[in-house]
Amino acid sequence: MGGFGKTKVGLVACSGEELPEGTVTRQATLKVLEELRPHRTVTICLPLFLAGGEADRAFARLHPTITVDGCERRCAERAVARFSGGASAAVVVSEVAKELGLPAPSGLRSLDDAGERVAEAVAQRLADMVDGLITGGEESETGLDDADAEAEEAQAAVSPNLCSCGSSVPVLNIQVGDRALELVALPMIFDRYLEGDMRPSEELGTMLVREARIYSTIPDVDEAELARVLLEAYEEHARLKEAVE
Amino acid sequence: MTDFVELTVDKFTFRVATDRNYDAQGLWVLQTSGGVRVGLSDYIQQRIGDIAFAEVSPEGTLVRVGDELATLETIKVNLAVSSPLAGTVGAVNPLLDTEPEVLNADPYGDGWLADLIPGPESPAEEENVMLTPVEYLALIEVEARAEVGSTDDP
Amino acid sequence: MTRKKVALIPCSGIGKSLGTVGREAAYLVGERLGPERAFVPALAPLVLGDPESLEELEEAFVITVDGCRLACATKTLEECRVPVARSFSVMEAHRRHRKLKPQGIAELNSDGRQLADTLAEEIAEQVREQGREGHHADRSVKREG
Repeated sequence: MGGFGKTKVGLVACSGEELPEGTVTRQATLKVLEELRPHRTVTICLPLFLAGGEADRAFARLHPTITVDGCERRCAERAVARFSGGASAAVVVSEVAKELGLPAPSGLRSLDDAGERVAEAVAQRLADMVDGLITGGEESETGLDDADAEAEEAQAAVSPNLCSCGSSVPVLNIQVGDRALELVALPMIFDRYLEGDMRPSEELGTMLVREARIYSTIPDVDEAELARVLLEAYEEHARLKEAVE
Repeated sequence: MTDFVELTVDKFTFRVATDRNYDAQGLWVLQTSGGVRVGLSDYIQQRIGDIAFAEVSPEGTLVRVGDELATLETIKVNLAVSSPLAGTVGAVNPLLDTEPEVLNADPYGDGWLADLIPGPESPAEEENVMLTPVEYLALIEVEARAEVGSTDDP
Repeated sequence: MTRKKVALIPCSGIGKSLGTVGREAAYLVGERLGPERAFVPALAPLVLGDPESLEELEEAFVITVDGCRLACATKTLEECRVPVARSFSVMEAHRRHRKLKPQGIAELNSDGRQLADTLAEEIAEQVREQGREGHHADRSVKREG
């Protein structure tokens, strides 16, 4: 499961058609995805994200995400804030160009030389940000391996249950009424909410039910009871995590 | 109603229907009143991308295990689909002519490929080993994780 | 009768080459018809509810160009109650021109550019027809292959 151990960073480009900077976002993002950090990044398609793509929205909630906007309207950044709780980092092309003293790009279908230079600079900025998000900014000779080992150890301590299918996917086993449910990825989701310092509440219960339904097929159960059980499990998870740390 | 088990790798979630078996190439088989219905798993349809054209061997065609049953054309690939069992093509999904994207949209429901009428018992060497849903899930997990890549950046 | 300005809105999906084909086609139509007749607004500000962007569309004949069956541009605009007069599917255009095999997302191959060009001409012809007939945008979506 992505984010469990070695993580990936989501990139969301605005691709805005009205300005050359929109084309720059697209080009820079694809350069990072295809050349600079091909195994560390995933692209999140903004139109699909806006249209209700739950997988993309869930990914952005659970994984570090960088938005790449052409201009100050910051559409990608706003979209991720609205639907996934906010990005980990944001880049605005016009700001990068100004900061580096690069001439403004022109060309919509195809970028001119200035546009290519700005795209290159933005791509490199993105690659650096990806590295920073994955390592947490800590310098280490073994770099990512240390962070992975720590993450796996912490995960194993608080979530020893693995999916009964034999994969290494963390699961949560709960009882709702007379139904026993095995819910995939809940421990990871709990961790995310703990990082955001989310306290148990009716709102959190609703969010947990919604996220649980994204990752697992849940038969008809009483929604309020499900929310209550998930909140209890969340509190227990927090308690165990604190005990380990 | 069909139940599923799921696997998520990065932002991709793959569903495996639990009421049918699978072969290693990713076809599912399900006993129906019309014979044995065959279709693509969710994993395969996601991997190959949006299907622009789907051509299935016509009704009445005799196939053995491994014979070409269908060809699927997407932007990414041209995929030759091999028959998972020996028999006769009984019916071809009529939606495939005009709406081949149904194979992507509803791989375990309306997006089936063909109904096969199993033939006389095949010689043992022709029998295709079918996987249970859990076995297939394990198989695709290995493939999916390998496909999204190692973490060795240049 | 007043001819409405045409707004061409591609999905610009970044995950597939057909998203780039649609984007390219929208730009080509805009170039062919000229800025007095057509413009290519971005989808995201519209969906996020930017008042200036929405106001620009109020008097426009809106055409969407979607890369795949998910039809994100058409779907999101309809949900925002923006009337879409025509909806084009790049996948359907690809089916009509089977010999073309578009590849590439950042940069299209020659088949991709050709498909974009062909689709652009189909769209432009629709716009010219709309202009000749003097139709205003109808409020139901007409989907084109």
